[in-house]
Amino acid sequence: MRAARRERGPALELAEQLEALAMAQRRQVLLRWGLRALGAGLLIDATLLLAARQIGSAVPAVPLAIAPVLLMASALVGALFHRPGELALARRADRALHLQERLTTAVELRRRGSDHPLAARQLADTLQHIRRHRATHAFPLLAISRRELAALAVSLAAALALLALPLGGEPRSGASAPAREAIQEEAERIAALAQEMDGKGQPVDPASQAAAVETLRETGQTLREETGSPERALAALADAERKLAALHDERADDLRQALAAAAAALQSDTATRGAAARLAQGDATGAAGELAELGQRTAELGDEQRASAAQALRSAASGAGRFDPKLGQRLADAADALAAGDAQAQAELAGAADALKQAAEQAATQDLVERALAQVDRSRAAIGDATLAERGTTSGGRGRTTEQAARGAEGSSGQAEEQSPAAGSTSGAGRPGEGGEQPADGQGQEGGQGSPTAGEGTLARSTDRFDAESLRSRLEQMAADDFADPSFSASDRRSLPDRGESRRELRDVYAEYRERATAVMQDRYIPLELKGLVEDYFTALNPGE
Amino acid sequence: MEERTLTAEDFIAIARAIEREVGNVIVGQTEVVRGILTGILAGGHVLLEGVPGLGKTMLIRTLGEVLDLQFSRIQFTPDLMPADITGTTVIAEDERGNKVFRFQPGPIFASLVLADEINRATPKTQSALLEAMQERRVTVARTTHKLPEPFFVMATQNPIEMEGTYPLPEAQLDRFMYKLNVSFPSAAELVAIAGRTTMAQPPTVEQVADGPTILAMIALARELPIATPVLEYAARLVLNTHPENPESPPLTRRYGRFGASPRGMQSLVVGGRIRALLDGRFNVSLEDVRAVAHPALRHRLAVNFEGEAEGITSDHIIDEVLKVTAES
Repeated sequence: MRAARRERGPALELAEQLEALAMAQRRQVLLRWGLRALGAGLLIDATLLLAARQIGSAVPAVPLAIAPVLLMASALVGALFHRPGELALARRADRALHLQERLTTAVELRRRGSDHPLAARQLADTLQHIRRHRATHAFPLLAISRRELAALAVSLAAALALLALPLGGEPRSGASAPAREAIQEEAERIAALAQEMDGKGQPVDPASQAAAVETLRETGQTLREETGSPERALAALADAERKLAALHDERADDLRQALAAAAAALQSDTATRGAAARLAQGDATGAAGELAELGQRTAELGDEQRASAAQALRSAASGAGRFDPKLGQRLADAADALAAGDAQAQAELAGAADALKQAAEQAATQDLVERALAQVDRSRAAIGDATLAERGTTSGGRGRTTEQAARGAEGSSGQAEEQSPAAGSTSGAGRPGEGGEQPADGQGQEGGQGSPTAGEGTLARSTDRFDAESLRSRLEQMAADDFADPSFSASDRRSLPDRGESRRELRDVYAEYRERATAVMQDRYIPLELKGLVEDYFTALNPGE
Repeated sequence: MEERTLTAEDFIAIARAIEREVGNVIVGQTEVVRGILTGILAGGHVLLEGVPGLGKTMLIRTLGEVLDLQFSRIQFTPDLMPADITGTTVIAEDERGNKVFRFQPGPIFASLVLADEINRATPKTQSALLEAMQERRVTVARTTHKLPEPFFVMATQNPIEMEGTYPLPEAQLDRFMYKLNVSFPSAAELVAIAGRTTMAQPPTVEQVADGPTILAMIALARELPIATPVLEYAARLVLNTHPENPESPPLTRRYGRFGASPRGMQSLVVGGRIRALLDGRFNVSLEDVRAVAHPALRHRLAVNFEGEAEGITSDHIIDEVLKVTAES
């Protein structure tokens, strides 16, 4: 080997040594830049994940892979084209191998082309020293500094941790027992509702019913699997809500009102009372059958009976037509045919029966969807409350500080949001400028003390996650919940006043409604400023004692 | 004088032999011996600062014996005249009995000159010596006389007993390649000195080189390659001794009065070359430049009044400059 080197000559050997060093350095740069780019990419990923968590969203895997891959590819391409000068390479090798500037001097002498004996001796000395080392000694493959390595490890750990931890930054196994119980309970409720809806005997739209049931089953299953992660459970519920909302028909209320109006009108005649009774019971098929049977019995009816039944049908057509013109038209056609007593009466009544049945089925379907939506919303609220309550407990002093701050804010605004229902009658009286009976501050503090449990539960929560829009939708949903509540019977529904009408005096219902609103404000989270709006509303409506 | 050609290996062998022979007589002071040898092989002059009685005269006399060079010693005193150094023209009779003026060379006409306590002579006399050092010739009565080659001056200064002295001006100091501080011997060295100098038979030395050999060594050393980055580093060192340089370290900017001259750069490079060869290398490294920075620069930069008041020396500034100056 030495002989071969001597044959090649020192200058050639120097060139070979430099080439070997250049290769080693290129490999080192490739790896170092690649790792740095990977670290930068992971850092970007960690930042993305952190930002996504702030908005409560998840980042899919593909976008996460883009930054590291792109950066690494750029770094590798850059490293491939990185060609350090010969002199710079020699200087780095000198430093790395402690050659005391031998290689740098040799490279310069080669460039200058010096023929002095000392130059030749210097070159020989350089080669003698550099032969003792391998190129990788000067440029080891892994030449990343400890600091860089630590940064890479931290980036990787941060990205992995943010990926592994559920939204909200708490470990999956870290959910509190109340939160787990709440998720488990809601999972069972949703699954039970799905089972109940699946076995429901009343005629409904099968596709919508199946979709709603499937959504509920999936959500229930997800909740069972994610009992340790309230955030994922809430995300599954939000997803379910989106799916169910897609099934919801905005005309559902109109359909119900049309049916209610038709039922009320058909009650007025003995011939149509059977259909009205079936309709009131929610038996659309039975109601349709009653109408169809009336069509078959047209010939048996006397003129007076036909006229009376036709009048009932007209009233039904008029009432239902305001909400469902199609149904109203079919009922009106049937009424006309019945009044005329012609051969078309049977067919028209059969058609009206079909329209009635179809509308009832649609309404029943929407009932199911709304029940599902209401259950999902209740589940979200229950899980959210359990989670927030847990955080309020674990945050300790900070939670108390927030509460104190909130109490101070309430006191200064003179509002009595945390008052008990008993104190609700005087709520708002303490607002500045309204001649309150008690000083604003005193009332605020008193209110806070009046219901400490509710106050803590409410005030420990962050208020910046809610706005008026979400409150409105929440209130609408709460109303829908009540409407869909099984305890809210069909007779209750029938007793609802028509739009623009009221069957009871305001002074009779005011106290009840206000108490109910106050109870809701105590049970549910309502931002302070919006509680003020509700108070203002009831104050403005107050009919006086 | 005959010209000789030496190889690098010859250079190294001779230089080591000189050090070895001097070491037979001079106890310790290895840095000073190395510094003086460097000065001789670089063709420069050396200023030694140390208290009297540390063997300075003995050192240069030994060097003269080892190198087979003519040695002379001039004791500088306030009444010393320039002619006492350079020589003078005297009236003499030629072979035919005619009166003629003849130049009588002074003690400076030697290859190794010891200018003892140079700061005790008047500036005029100092100047005569320093001009001769720089020009390597003297002019007397309009006749120029070339000094022998090699020509090496070793001047000494006593850092104490400054009364009645004439400190060398900066311009004159700049003509010395190195300024070496001669430290007091350690206890072990004192024991060895006592043992060697009180024997009936004083230690002897062998002659290992002569004038032509020294000249060949000087010529060879100046051919030693030095890479541009090393030169650039030396230049940065010199620039960083200048207080007006914005890149100089804070210590320089605060306490420096003036920085090293281009001669300082030359001394760094030449001194680095000699050091590399003495170390058995054939190129100058950054470490060589760093190693010679103190003797090559300490007498070329001055501290201001504030620095003197705070006990800052030029060596402190050089330390700081070495610490902060980037290698590339």
